[in-house]
Formats: sequence, structure tokens, C-alpha cells
Amino acid sequence: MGNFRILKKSILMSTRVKKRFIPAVLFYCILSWWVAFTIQLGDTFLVTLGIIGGLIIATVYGFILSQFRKAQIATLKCIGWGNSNILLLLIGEILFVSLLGYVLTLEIDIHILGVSTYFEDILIQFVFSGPALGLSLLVVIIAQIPGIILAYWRTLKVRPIVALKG
Amino acid sequence: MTQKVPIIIAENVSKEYRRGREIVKALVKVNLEIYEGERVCFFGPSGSGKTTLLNVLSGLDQPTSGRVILDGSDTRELDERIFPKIRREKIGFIFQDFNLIPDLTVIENVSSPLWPTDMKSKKIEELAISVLREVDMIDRKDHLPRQLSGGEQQRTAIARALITRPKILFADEPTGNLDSKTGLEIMNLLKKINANDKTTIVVVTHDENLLKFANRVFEVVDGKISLSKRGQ
Repeated sequence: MGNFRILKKSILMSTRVKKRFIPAVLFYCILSWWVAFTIQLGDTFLVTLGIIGGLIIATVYGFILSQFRKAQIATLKCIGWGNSNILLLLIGEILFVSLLGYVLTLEIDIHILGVSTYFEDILIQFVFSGPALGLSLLVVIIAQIPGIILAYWRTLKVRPIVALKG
Repeated sequence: MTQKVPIIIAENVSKEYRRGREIVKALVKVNLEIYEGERVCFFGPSGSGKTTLLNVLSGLDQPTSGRVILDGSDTRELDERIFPKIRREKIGFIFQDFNLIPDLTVIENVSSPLWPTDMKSKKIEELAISVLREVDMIDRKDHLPRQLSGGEQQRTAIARALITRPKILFADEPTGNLDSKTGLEIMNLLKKINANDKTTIVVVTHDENLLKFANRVFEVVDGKISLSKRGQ
């Protein structure tokens, strides 16, 4: 029950930091769009570029998250949160933001599908197939792993004593 | 006559830091006992070692030598798997900078220590409301910390520390960022909590005005402590 509650709150917390939340969602939206588009094109080089980009974005996001939340992590440790609880909070935030970016891609694609009836010649290349979208989701999720590991490693290093140092 | 039960025992506690090539002796062979239900103040100038003492007594930091017994447990034997539970159940912290989570409302901040537990959310909310009433913050429960004054933020932080009904409250310069009137209100609130719940309160301060709230005052100078006559 506690873990589920922390995941729920992590979503809430991520949406309240709009300065970080909106750009991160947009980045993930662009990433999943790029991956789906290049998979559909069948260009391995561009797909690889997208995967590398995704890994970089996710790692940077994991770093930013653990950096900006450092004092909060120390405070949470002081009030009785364990490392695993804090990891869950970070995972929830990272996964929610990345999946929301993916959902935004789906949403845009559905609209393109609707409009493509009128502009078929131009827009049909942007209507993604099921496999392209599926692989894009897989890339978005897998790309989070280094970001999550980095965030967790940095969380472990934060000592609760930091909270008292102001 | 009721017997005094020590809840914190420090035995020959020393703490040294390395600053470049120099070794700084932050605490020198500190011996003390703090009893259940006491209000204790550690008073001293900046750099005297009082915050180090609070860190060591609360288990946030380990002494270089000597030992601290916190409610029957030697802090050296508590690892990072057991300590979170002890912090949650036995200890509350009040910080000079309040340390509220800025993205959470007052009621969310107050209930956050109980989120990792198996307690039902409804029960947690009831407890949070109850402590918010106690610190007179119920009307502000849906506000974010940035919408609160310093005194309100500190009252929220106290409510957060109280929700688990800890045996000991550690406060590091709890009025340091407040004006004197608000500081006085906060100290009266802590005194009320101590009287109602018999919570042991350990305050670190450099503010002489706070000393009258303590049963015992220890002066900290160059890492050494001595009992002062300035307590009640």
C-alpha cells in the first residue's frame, strides 16, 4: 500500500514542477516521435541516433531530478524514508514523464490520421504503424534504465545530515 | 518519586573532522544523559559544535569514538535498513530552514512521513488533520509552502514531525529564520507539545531568549559541554 501511495504522489509531484515537467514531456514526445518515424522509414542509423538521444535525455533527466531533489531526499531520509522509498518516488516521476511524452505522440498521431484523409500525400508518412509505435514505446522505456540507475546511485550518496546543513 | 529514565545517553562521544591537513575536534569526550519528557537546550556560538552534537545524538552522524544510546539502541549498530524505521517511529526533526517539500501542500507535507507505511490513506489523512489542528494550521492545509509565512511553515514542519508521535524531537535552531514574536510562539508550541505528550525536546540554539524554555541548558564551547544554570 505504501509503495502504491508513493508512486501516486510521485506523479502529483512531477506535475507540480512545471518548469521541469513540460520540457521533459516535450523531449520524450519528440524522442518517441523520432523513433517511430525512423523505424517506419527503416533507417537503422537514424533509429540508433534516436536511441542514443533517448539514453542521453533519460540520463540527464535522472541527474537533474536527483540534483534538484537532493535537499528533499535528505529531508525525506530524516523523516524516515528508506532508499527504496525514494527510488520509487524517482522511478514514478521518470516513468510518468516519459510515458506521458509517448502518449502525447500517440495523441498527435491519431489527429494526423484524421487529417491525412484530406492531405494523404503529405501526411501518410507520419501515420505510424502498430509495430513502429510499439518499438518506440520499448525504446522510451528501456532508455530510462540508465537515468533511473544514476538517480538511485545519487540518492544512495545523499546523507540525511545534508538536511540540517541548510 | 518517579525515576528519571534516560532516553539519550552519550558516553565519551568525540567527533573529529579532517579539514585539509588539519583535524578539527568538533566534539571532545561528551558525556550526558537526557531523560524522557525533558526539554534540553544546547547553547553556544556558531562553530562551537552544537549542531554536530545534535547530528550525533540523533544518529544522523556517527561519533569518531564513544557511543550514543538512543532509546535503548546503540546508534553504531543501526544500519541504513533499520534506521529509517527508527527515525519514523521514534524521532522527529525540526529544521532551521523548515525543509518542507515545496511541491507538496501543507497536509501532504505533514502526512509524508507515513506514506511508506502500510497505514491506510484515510487514517493518515485523519492523523494529519488532527496534528494540523494541534498546531493551528488546519485552515491552511491545502496551501503550498511558498504561500505560507515563516511561522506557518515552521508550524507545518512541527506538525510533520509530530504525526508519528515521536518520543524525541530534535530541533536545530528552530527559530533561526523567524522574527522574535513568531519564534516565541513556536517555542510555546514546543513547550505545549512537551507538556501534553511528554515528548523529549532537544533544541540547539545560539539564541539566549530560548533558554528559558528548557529544563536544562548545556553550554557548548569548543566541542565541550557543561551544564549551565540558565535552565528552568
